Amino acid sequence: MDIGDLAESIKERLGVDREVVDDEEEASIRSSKVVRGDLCDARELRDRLVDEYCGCDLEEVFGCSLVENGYGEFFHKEEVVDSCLCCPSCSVEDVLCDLKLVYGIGVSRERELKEEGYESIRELIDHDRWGGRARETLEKFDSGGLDSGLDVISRWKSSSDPLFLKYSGFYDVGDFGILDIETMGLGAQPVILIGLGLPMDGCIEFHQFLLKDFDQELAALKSFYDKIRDRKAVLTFNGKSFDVPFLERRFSFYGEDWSLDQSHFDLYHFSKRAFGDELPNYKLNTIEREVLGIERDIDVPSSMVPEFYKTYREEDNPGPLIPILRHNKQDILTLNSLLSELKEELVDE
Amino acid sequence: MNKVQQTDKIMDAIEGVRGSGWYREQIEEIRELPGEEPEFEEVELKDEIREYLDRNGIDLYTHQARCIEEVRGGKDVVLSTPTASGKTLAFNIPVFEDLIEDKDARALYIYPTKALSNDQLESIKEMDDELGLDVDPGVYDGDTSRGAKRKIRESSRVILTNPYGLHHYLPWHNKWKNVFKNLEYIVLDEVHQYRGVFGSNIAFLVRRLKRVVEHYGGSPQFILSSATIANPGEFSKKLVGRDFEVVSRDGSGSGKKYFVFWNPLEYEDQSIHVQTSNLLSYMVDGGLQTLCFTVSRKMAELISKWSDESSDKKIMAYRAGYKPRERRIIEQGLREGEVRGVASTNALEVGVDIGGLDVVLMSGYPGTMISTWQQAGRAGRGNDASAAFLIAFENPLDQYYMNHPDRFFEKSHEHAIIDLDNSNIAIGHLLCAASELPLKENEWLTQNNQEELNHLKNEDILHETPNGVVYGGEKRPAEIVELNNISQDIIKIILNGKLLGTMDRAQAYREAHENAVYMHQGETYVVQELDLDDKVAYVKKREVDYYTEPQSQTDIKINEKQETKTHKNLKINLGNVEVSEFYLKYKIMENDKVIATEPLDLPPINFKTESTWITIPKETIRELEEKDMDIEGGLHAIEHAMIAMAPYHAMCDRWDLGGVSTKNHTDTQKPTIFLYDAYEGGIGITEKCYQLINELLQTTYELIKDCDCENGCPSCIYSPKCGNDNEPLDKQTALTILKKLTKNQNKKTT
Ligand SMILES: [Zn+2]
Ligand SMILES: [Zn+2]
Repeated sequence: MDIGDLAESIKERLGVDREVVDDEEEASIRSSKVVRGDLCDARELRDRLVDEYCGCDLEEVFGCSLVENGYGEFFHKEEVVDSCLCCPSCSVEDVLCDLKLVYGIGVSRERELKEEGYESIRELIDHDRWGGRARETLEKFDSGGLDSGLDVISRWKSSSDPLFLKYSGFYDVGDFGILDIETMGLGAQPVILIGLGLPMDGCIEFHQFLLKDFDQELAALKSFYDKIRDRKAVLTFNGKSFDVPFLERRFSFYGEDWSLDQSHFDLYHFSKRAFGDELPNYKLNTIEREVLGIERDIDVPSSMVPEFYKTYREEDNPGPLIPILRHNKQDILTLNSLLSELKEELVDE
Repeated sequence: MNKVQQTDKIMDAIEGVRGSGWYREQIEEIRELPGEEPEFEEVELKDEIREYLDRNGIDLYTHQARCIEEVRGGKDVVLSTPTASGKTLAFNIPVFEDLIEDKDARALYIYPTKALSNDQLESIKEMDDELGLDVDPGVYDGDTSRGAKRKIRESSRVILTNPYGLHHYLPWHNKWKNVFKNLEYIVLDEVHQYRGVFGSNIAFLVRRLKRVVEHYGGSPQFILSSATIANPGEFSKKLVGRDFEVVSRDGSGSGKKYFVFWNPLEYEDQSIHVQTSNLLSYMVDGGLQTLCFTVSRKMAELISKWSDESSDKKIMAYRAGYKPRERRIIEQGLREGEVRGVASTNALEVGVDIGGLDVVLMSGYPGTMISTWQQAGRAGRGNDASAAFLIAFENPLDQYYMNHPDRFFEKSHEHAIIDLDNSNIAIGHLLCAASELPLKENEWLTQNNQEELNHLKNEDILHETPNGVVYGGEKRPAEIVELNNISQDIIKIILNGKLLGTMDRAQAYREAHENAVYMHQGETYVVQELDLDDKVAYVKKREVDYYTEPQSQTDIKINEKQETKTHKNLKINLGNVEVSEFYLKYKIMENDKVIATEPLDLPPINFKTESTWITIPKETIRELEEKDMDIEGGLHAIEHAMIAMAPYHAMCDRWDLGGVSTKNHTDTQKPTIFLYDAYEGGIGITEKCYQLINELLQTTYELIKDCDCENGCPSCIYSPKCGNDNEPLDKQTALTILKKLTKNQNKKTT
């Protein structure tokens, strides 16, 4: 084999081994498994879009613009969508009623203490046994601000603990950044689209940063980072294990020490806890259909995104990007609604 | 027991064998290797370390002292000394001194296997505890839990891992930021194992590691430790890409050793393995603690079982795959002297402290001098006398040693070979590197692999960006790069829709053609179909009592002659060739008997590789033809014997080489013998053969000449992998040709 053949054969092996299954349950979250019917539908959709948008201009089709930011060029789409992030505010005092925030206190211990008349952590500071720890916790909340408060809890609470969600009430609507990314794979590959929702009063300022090509990734990452860095909290679905580490790895790939160390509310964990028994799986699509009653029209399974993006690159045709961008936008809007839904559930509990 | 008593005891045992019922003059040679006094040297040490050594009653040998001083001087050091010479301590001391001084400093220890890193963890932990340092060493590999991994990255200052793991951790380097930023030492232990295909992959992996560490501002020193090899400096430079200080003068001393050559072929009615078992139980019953090295796990089990049955004492088996607890018990038993006899695979060759034994038996030449001396080095407690037995198999190299013990003892350790120019290996690591950090213009990887880079860009897998070259494919490249493989042409073995394993095309042709019996972890499968378009072989589980063996014929074409030299009256060439292997039929075998031969319908395997070839003057051949000699049989025999002897000169396995011989080759128009690297792109073995051709021809001649057989046998010119059923072969013609070739022409004319 000469080097050319070698490169060709290695390219073949780098294609994803897509395991096609007939059973929907098997095609679980973010795996390379795809249901046979979905695969056919998706490919048919892709081919239709290629025909339909042949010769079209990406900027016109999406209403996005090609931006140059000193790091390179990328497509940027910005729009304002009506919607309100329902964020019933809560006070520090509301949260401090939860004695479980003190290390070592569990459900039954809390019940005992409440029966003894301790209603809040503040009242606990003189308690013989728990006073010391109560003071420590309180100090964090009073002085350290939101993040160090969350940090305290995260040391001994599971990340799906409703307390975290309750805690999100501390944040203003304008503190959140809702994040969802589409990538070429699960490991060392580029990101291709970053969607970011920035809730405002009564609306969401919605951004999409789309790679023009792989060589322009850093440009998109940079502009995205500039938009999110001031937001105090990140809202995602499964972002703790996927989106955020993925982006941080891409930052460090380019030698940038940007980090996404804001407070992170990952609705995947809360949803699993809240709706776990009622749903066949914990995919965002399933949750939005079953819980929020949202039906998507044309959609592309996550595992097909790389194939669609590849077609866009190879054919220089914006068609296959349409469902990716829509899918990404819908994910973000769904997350927005889901947060409200989950909080309501919490109130009902 | 004093020295004299021990010497007598060993000698008595060896001599006593001659009186046993199963003795048939198998001892071909007893060589007494004199002992050497240890040499010590004082080094100034930090108080903590000094106390640690005093407490444990350790004086430093000269090579340890030198290693410590070179490391302190900021040098990259390779320590190439025998087993049990205290290499670990030699690099632990300067590393720990630094860890005491600099509380942020980190060190990364890389071992060739998981098992070795687990073994070494114990001793490093002990040192850490005794020094009260809180270095908190940890093993970081596939068995480490996610939580433990985070903790190790956060706080362990000595991290032990293996290359297979590292290969997959590198893309996640941002998690390692604090480790890499403060990384002061990278220790690579047992580096002589990083040779050939595996080693060449590791050389690229080390370069990937270096660039990522440097990215975070780390600038670690390298400390390499190796068994004794011929070229530690050159080898280390290739492996790491830096110049090394070589510390190779061993100061640890040794006792007297009797080296015994045992040729089981002298007693034809008793198998090699039975004789080995007899020796093992004989030694153990004679009060000598004995370790027997076997070539396979199965033999370790069998030999321990047989010898245990005939011995009064317990004889145990040891191999990788046993539970750690079982292994610890045997290791401790050996150390403390309670376990008197063990049959083991080479798992006990390195690492693992088992103390010194009285006798080591090596069942079969271990393949390299390096391994042989490592295994033999397991015998010898301090300066006490010991014995090592080399028990020969019926194959050319083993038998060559039996007939030429001098050749064995005068032979230096092998050259370890690494090839940085094989595109098959380079290309995968380029992808990995570009997925870890953008590849910049001025990097070694970029500059050394321009052509590969361009092709990968053309294929749209790598992309030029303002920040360097980046990866844009779907899979993680590390997933498709295997550290001990070279081929990118991979076939999947599928059982009931599930992946059973993978192999490269050549191996699939041999083991997974239609109707082949495929063996995998002790189970037998029959191949239903080999689909070369989809690169899949479908197998079914079947209990069968036969096996299959394909036969291939090889064509070779010269693409480029790079160098030619003349040796006496023949021409030797080095260059690039294209090999085509035709698999036309396979044999169905039962108990070594052919019961049927079936045709195969497979396209040929073509690959380019490096070759060295010898052309023989036509006059020489004409002379022999006039005497009615079988020229083809002669050339074929020389080809087989040269391949069999190649491992004597270059560190390789006889399976790493292929050969072709012909009375008239199209490209040379002369009688020609080719040796070629059996790996796509070549791996540097035939190049070594080219450099050492005089020696190779000489030992080949000796091998054939001194074999007792009349017309050739498995101990000289038969080859187990011959595609022509070892036909034609002609021993006498081979000898005549070799004699003419190795005779100096100048002498003739004077
Ligand atoms: Zn012979
Ligand atoms: Zn042959």
